[in-house]
Parts: sequence; structure tokens; C-alpha cells
Amino acid sequence: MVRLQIALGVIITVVGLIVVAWIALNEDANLARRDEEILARRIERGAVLFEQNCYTCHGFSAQGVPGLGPPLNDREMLEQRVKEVGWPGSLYSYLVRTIAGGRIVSTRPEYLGGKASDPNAMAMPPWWEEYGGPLRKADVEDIALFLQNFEEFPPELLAEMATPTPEAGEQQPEEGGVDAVAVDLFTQLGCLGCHSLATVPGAVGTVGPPLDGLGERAASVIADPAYTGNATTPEEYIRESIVDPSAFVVAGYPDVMPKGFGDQLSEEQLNALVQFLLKQ
Amino acid sequence: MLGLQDLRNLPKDFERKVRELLNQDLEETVRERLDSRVRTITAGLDLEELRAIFRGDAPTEKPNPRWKVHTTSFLFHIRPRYYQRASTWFTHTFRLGWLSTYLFFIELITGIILMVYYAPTPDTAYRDMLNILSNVRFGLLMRDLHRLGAELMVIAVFLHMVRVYFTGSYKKPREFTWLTGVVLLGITLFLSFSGYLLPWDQLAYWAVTIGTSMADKTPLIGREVNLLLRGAPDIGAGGLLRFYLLHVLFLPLLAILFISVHYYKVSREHGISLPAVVEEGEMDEDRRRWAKERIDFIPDLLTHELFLSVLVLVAMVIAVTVWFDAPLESQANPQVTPLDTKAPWYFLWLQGMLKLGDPTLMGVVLPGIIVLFLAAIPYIDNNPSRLAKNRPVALSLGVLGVIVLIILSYMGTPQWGIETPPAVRIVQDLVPQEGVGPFRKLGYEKIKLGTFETDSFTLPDNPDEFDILFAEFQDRVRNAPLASPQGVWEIDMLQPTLKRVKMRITWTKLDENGNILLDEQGQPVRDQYEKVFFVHESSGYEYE
Ligand code: HEC
Ligand code: HEC
Ligand code: HEM
Repeated sequence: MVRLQIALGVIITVVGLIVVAWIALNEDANLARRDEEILARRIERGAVLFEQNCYTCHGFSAQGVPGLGPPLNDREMLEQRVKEVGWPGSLYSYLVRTIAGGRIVSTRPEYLGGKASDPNAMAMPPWWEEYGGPLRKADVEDIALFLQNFEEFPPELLAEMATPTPEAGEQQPEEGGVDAVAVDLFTQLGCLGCHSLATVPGAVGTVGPPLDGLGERAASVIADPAYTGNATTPEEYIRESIVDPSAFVVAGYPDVMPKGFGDQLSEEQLNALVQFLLKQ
Repeated sequence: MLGLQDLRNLPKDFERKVRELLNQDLEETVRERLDSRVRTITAGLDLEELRAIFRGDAPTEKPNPRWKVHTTSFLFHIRPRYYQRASTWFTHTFRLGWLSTYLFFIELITGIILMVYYAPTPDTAYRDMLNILSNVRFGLLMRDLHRLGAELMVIAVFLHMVRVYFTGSYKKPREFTWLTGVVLLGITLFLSFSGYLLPWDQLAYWAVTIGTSMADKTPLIGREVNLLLRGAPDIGAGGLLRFYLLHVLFLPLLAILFISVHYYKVSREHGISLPAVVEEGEMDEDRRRWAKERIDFIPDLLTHELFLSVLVLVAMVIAVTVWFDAPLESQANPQVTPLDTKAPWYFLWLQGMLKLGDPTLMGVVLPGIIVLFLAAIPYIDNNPSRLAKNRPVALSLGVLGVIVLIILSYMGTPQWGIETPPAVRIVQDLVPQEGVGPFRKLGYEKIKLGTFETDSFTLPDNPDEFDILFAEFQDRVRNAPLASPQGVWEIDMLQPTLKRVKMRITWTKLDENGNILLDEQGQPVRDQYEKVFFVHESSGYEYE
């Protein structure tokens, strides 16, 4: 018994050492992987916290809400900001500081409308609990990590995002080519930041009216006596809304849709966009 | 001082030394030197003796030099020189007492290593856990071993008690040993429980909040007991520090004290009991004599224990590399009560009891009585025989006790008796608040962009995992006890590496009588439950 157990014990010890050696060999790679995973999950948490706390002023997708808060969905823009204000630290520390402490006096009144000149209104309230906000330190940090994770969508990804999903495919018949152009435009020009549209992934903006069912709605709008524009067909109405948004301002929405789209778009592009929206 | 003359003499001295050495028997010298070294290290065994031990031969000298070790070595003086053969039969003790002790030492060592990387404040505790996982070499291994060891120790101690009960080993003269054992059971449970809070995640925070709120129900001094434990009305910095000190200082010291007393009683005073058959049963006298023969601790039992030690340790290391993961949820948040809170499994029986009635009665008074009853068992049971056939009542009560414990534990799980609204349940099962769940498990790549509706979705001809999961969702939504339920998944990209998922279930609102509620326009009122969450490219859910 003694010798058997010694022999078995030695074998088991060797097995144990091999397992530990195997762990040791993979340990550095595993640590790096877990580090990345932890960061990724903090970004996810930050995104949830952002949607819960910040959407009222910065929009659900951080695209900004005219008159209430600037867009935050562009890391390069934010890095630019950090240089502009002469912040000595990193973008991350700027974000943490800004979110934790809020902003007493507006530095970007152009985003604030009338509120910026009101000396009694705080531009942005503080968010960290130590300063009277609702969030904990780790929450603020997670949101900062999330904002830092914004970057340009690479073209391949944009194309992929625009590929119709099975359901969407049923609604959009063969003219995939023209539609794909329109979806690209809709994404690149930032329409999706202000408008929601079920057929365009990422189009969840709430600043402007939802564009689902626009083709049908357009007809009833121009028939309405309250309509102030010059369009006589739904197609014309949509074209007008893009080229000259002020011609008719949809009830309940501010007149903030950019006015320059008419100059930016070629005739073909405009047509594609109008035809696409007409079908919605 | 080394003078010039000495230097001149050096070669001559050296020569003389060498000549001296050469004159001696070289082998003899080496052996002697080695021998004395070996004796120092082994507390008295020489080389010859060691060889004999490994060969399994009888002792080389008389008196048995192996016994001497028990007087010269501190560590060995704790252990008895010999045991009676039958008391070491595996099926008598199952080595469960030994295992409890061994696990306790594993906990001490892994625990001290973890302490190096951990500071017990609400701001740092959770961050330190993440750091241990992502920045400390072997940190995950230590944490998993510590967690697994703690849970195994609870199991081992409990089973040890069960075996002592069923072999009747608590009877005279071992009543006091049993009593110290009951204290040790308590210490083990509270050691585990106090450690539970330290990661400072949601799991820990809420389990301990529920646990300590039971103290609140103690008659008369409930509030004070609770304050003493938590350090404030709610668990915060003070409570964390207190649990930490309990866990790393007070309870371990208490455990060491009681294990020592317990073990002293077992090894010095009464010895491990003999199996009842050997002691009082019918048995061939020769065989009985053989069963009561002494076997030496060195080498038979020592080798056996060393063998078990490596076996258990290596099994644990393999277990934590292959499947066991110590859980870590998101950081503790007093503002967010998780949907499914549950006590650690070894306290589920208590949670089960609490569902049965008044918290003071079920959470404090009854458990108190149970503990007192456990401690008093040797005094209540005055049946002198330990043979199973003479203890029908005690044994059936024991079996009954274990069954009741299992049933109560089952009743303690959140599945039993707690209703979650159906829409919340469906979404929670797919994407739990904590942990991964089947949806995230798909992984970033397999999550498709687009809008998916239960009304229009049909399973394609060659469905992938995503389609199948949605079909399951569709099925559950359609069969949910709701009026015309509809479910939607809206998935888009918020950032180039971040997908946003909205899961929504809507249904028609009914009043108490089951009638459809209508709004001013005469449209049915729809109710909804929505959950928005995100999946990042490198979250690694698919690997969990
Ligand atoms: C009450 C509206 C409001 C809410 C809610 C709000 N913000 Fe702001 N935020 C603003 C305004 C206004 C500014 C611009 C201040 C200025 O002009 O300097 C701003 C600026 C910022 C900036 C600095 C941008 C820059 O360019 O310097 C960051 C970062 C920011 N907000 C993050 C957040 C986060 C994160 C949340 C949610 C936790 C949030 N905000 C919620 C109104 C708000
Ligand atoms: C800064 C936010 C913003 C952006 C960017 C934006 N819009 Fe608008 N849009 C609005 C608002 C606000 C309205 C409603 C007020 C109005 O009619 O001018 C609107 C109205 C419209 C309407 C009329 C909707 C209706 O229900 O009658 C159309 C069509 C439209 N936008 C298309 C577009 C297109 C196409 C783009 C991209 C080229 C775009 N918008 C970019 C804010 C925006
Ligand atoms: C940390 C917890 C404990 C440790 C480390 C421990 C350790 C031990 C050890 C090493 C033995 C020698 C026999 C064996 O290995 O089975 C033993 C025996 C014994 N233990 Fe424990 N024990 C613990 C808990 C308990 C509990 C909870 C009870 C019962 C309530 C208990 C009651 C006894 C009794 C009565 C004996 C004598 C058994 C006999 O002589 O056969 N012990 N204990």
C-alpha cells in the first residue's frame, strides 16, 4: 500500500505540475484577454447608463439634441475639444471630470439656444454622487469609456449595416441598388441622428419626426389646410422637406433641420433619397 | 589577522587536509555527514530508516525510531503514533475530518495570497477583484481555488457530521468532541458567508443584505445585532470592513482554536472511534484482534495522507481550470435590487424556511432551536449501543433530517414560490441582469442587425443559432399568459464595435375582470416591457 500510494502520488504530482505549467504558459495571454473583456463590458455598462441618464440632452445615440446638449458621438471631435479648452490631461480624464462635475457655465452656447444666456441655468448638472449627482465613480468612468469608444464607421461596416435583414428584404423589392445608395446617404448625412426609420439600422433619432410611413403621411399633410409649403404631390413634399425644411415645419417639432442639404446633394442622390423615403 | 607566514603555509595546510581526507574512508565520511543532515531534517530518522520506510520494511532499530519523530518534531507530536486498524478503515471515516482540516489549510494559504491584492473598501474592493482577474498572474487560479475550497469545506464538514452521526461516534465518551464539532460547523458556515461579501458585487451585496436582515428579526436585540454586523443601518464601508475582519482574522483564529481542541480530543483523549461492529458487534475473535491491531502513523498513514493531499489538490486545480469559476457579477449597487436574489446554497434551507412563516420564528427562533438540538444530541440520545440495528429511531430521524434539509433548500431557490411577470421572465431568461444568458452567448458576430418581430418571423430553411433563439423567443411570447402578446428585437450599431439591442414585449392591458381596457379613441391600451442592452465586439461572452 505504501509503495503504491507513493508511486501514484508521484504521478499525480507530475500531472498537477503539468497543469500548472500549462496555466503558466497561457497566463499572460489570458490576462490580456480578460483585461480586454472587462473593458468591453464596462463599455456596455456605460452605454446603458448613458441611455438611461443622458438621452434627454445628448440624444439616445449621443448625436446631440438641438437646444439642449451638444453631440458627443465623435471621438475625434471630443479630442479636438480637449485641445481647444487647453485641458492638460487625456480625453478620458476630461470626460470623467466633465461628467462627474457637470458644467456650471456653458462653453458652447451655440448648442444651447436661449438657455446659455440664462445666468441661473446650469449648462449640465453634475453626475457623480459626491457632487450631488446620482451616479457612482465607477458609473461615471464606464460612461467615459463608452464615449471614448466612438469612432468613424468604416465603409465596409456601413455597407453591412445597410444590407437588408430578412424581414426588411420582403418590404424592399428588387431595386436594392437605388435603395442602398439612399440608405448610405441617410447614414452619412446624419439623417439617422435625428430621424428614426425602421429600415435603416441605427436610425433612432428623436429630434425630428419618425419617417416610417412617410409616403402615405405626405399625402395627408399637403391636403391639410395648415400646410404652408408649395408641394402638390407626396414626392414633391419630401423633396421640399429636404431642400427647404423651413417651408413647412411639422407641428410639434423645432425648425432645426439643417438647411444646406439641397446644395450638398446631386440631383441623382436627391432622387434616390426621395424615392426611398416615398416607399416608407 | 592572516599574516604573511600563514599565507606561505597555505599550500602546506591544504595538502595536509587532503591527505587526512584521503586517509579516511571517503564513502564513510559522506555517509556520516549525510546521515546527520537527514536526521536533522526528518527529526530523527536516518538514511537507512528512510530507505526502509520507502521499501515498506520493518523499522531498522529498536526502539522504533519512527516513534521518536513524534516527540522530536512539533508537527508530528500533534499526531498520534499509531491508530487502531479498524478506526482507519476508509468506509468508517471517509477521511472527512481530515479533508475538512486540509481544506482549511488550503483556504489559509490561498486566502493570504488573495489578501495581498485586496483592500476592503467599497471603492476598491470590486476594482481589486477585476485586477486580480486581469492583472495578477495566477490570480484567477487563487481566487477559484479559494472559492472552490470554501464550498468543498462546507460540504466536507457537513458530511463529516453526518458520518459521525450515523456511526454513532458522538456517544460517550465523545460528547464534548461533538459539541466542539457543532461550534466548528457554525464557524465554517460563517467563514464562508463572511467571505461571500468581500468581492462587493451584486451577488454578494444582496445575499448578505438578506442574510443580515434576518438578524434584525431577533427578538429584543434585533436592531443592535444588525447594527453590530453591518456597522450602519445599511451595508456600506463599515459593514465591508467588519465582514473582512471577521473573515480574515476573527473567524480563522476561532477556527484554529476550535479545530485544535476538537483534534486534541480526537487524537489524544479518545482516539478515533472503532466501527461499531468491531467494538460491540458479532465478529470472529481473530478478526477482531486483527482489526484492533495498532498501525503506525509513520509510514502507513503518513503516506496515505500525503497521497490524499496531492490527489485533492490536483483534482481541485484541474476542476478550476476545466469548469469551476468563482462568480463575479457587476459591482454592488444598493439602488438596484436584482431580480433573482438568492442566498448562498448552504443557506438556502434557511431561505426556504423563511418562505414558510413569520421571519422571527422561522429565521431566528427555529434555527436557534435546531442548533441547540444538534449540540444536545449526545445527551438526548442515551441509547448506549452504536450498532445500526439497535438504533432504528436515531437512524430514521437522521435520514429524515437530511431529506427535510434538501426539501427546504429546494424551496429556498428563487424558482419556488416567487412570481416574476411573464414578459420580464422571458427577457430575463434570455439576457439575465447578471451573467451571460443564451442571447449574449451567441457572441457579437452572430447577433444580426435588423428588426425581428414575433408576428412576422418564420424560421428560414437553414436557420442559424440566432434564428433558432428568436424562434424560441417567438414561441415563449406567443404562449405567454398575456393578451395578444407581441415581441420585437431591434438591433443596430451604435458604435463600430458596439451593437445595441432593444427587446420589447407588448400586450393588451386587461382590468381585474379580464376585460380589455380601451383608451379615449376606443383603441385597446397596450402595455410593454422593454430592455435595452449592448454587446461589445470583445466582451468574450461566447467563450463563457
Ligand atoms: C440637462 C441636459 C443635460 C444632460 C441630462 C446631460 N448633459 Fe452633458 N451637456 C449638456 C450641455 C448643455 C453641455 C454643453 C455645456 C457647455 O456648453 O459647455 C454638455 C456637455 C457635456 C460634455 C462635454 C462636451 C464638450 O464638448 O466639452 C460631456 C462629456 C457630457 N455633457 C456628457 C454627459 C453625460 C455622460 C451625461 C449623462 C450622464 C450628460 N452629459 C447629461 C447638457 C446635458
Ligand atoms: C438636426 C436634426 C435633423 C437632421 C440632421 C435631419 N433632419 Fe429632417 N427633420 C428634422 C426636424 C426637427 C424635422 C421636423 C421639422 C420640419 O419639418 O422642419 C424634420 C423633418 C423632416 C422631414 C419631413 C417629415 C414629415 O414627417 O413631414 C423629412 C422628409 C426629413 N426631415 C428628411 C431628412 C433627411 C432626408 C435628412 C438627411 C439628409 C434629414 N431630414 C436630416 C431634423 C433633422
Ligand atoms: C472545521 C470543521 C471540523 C474539522 C476540521 C474536524 C476534524 C475532525 C477530525 C480530523 C476528526 C478525526 C476523524 C475523522 O477524520 O473523521 C474528527 C472527528 C470527530 N469529529 Fe470533527 N471536525 C470538524 C467538524 C465537526 C462537526 C461539525 C462535528 C459534529 C457536529 C464533529 C464531530 C466529530 C466527532 C464526534 C469526532 C470523533 C469521531 C470518531 O471518533 O469517530 N466534527 N473531526
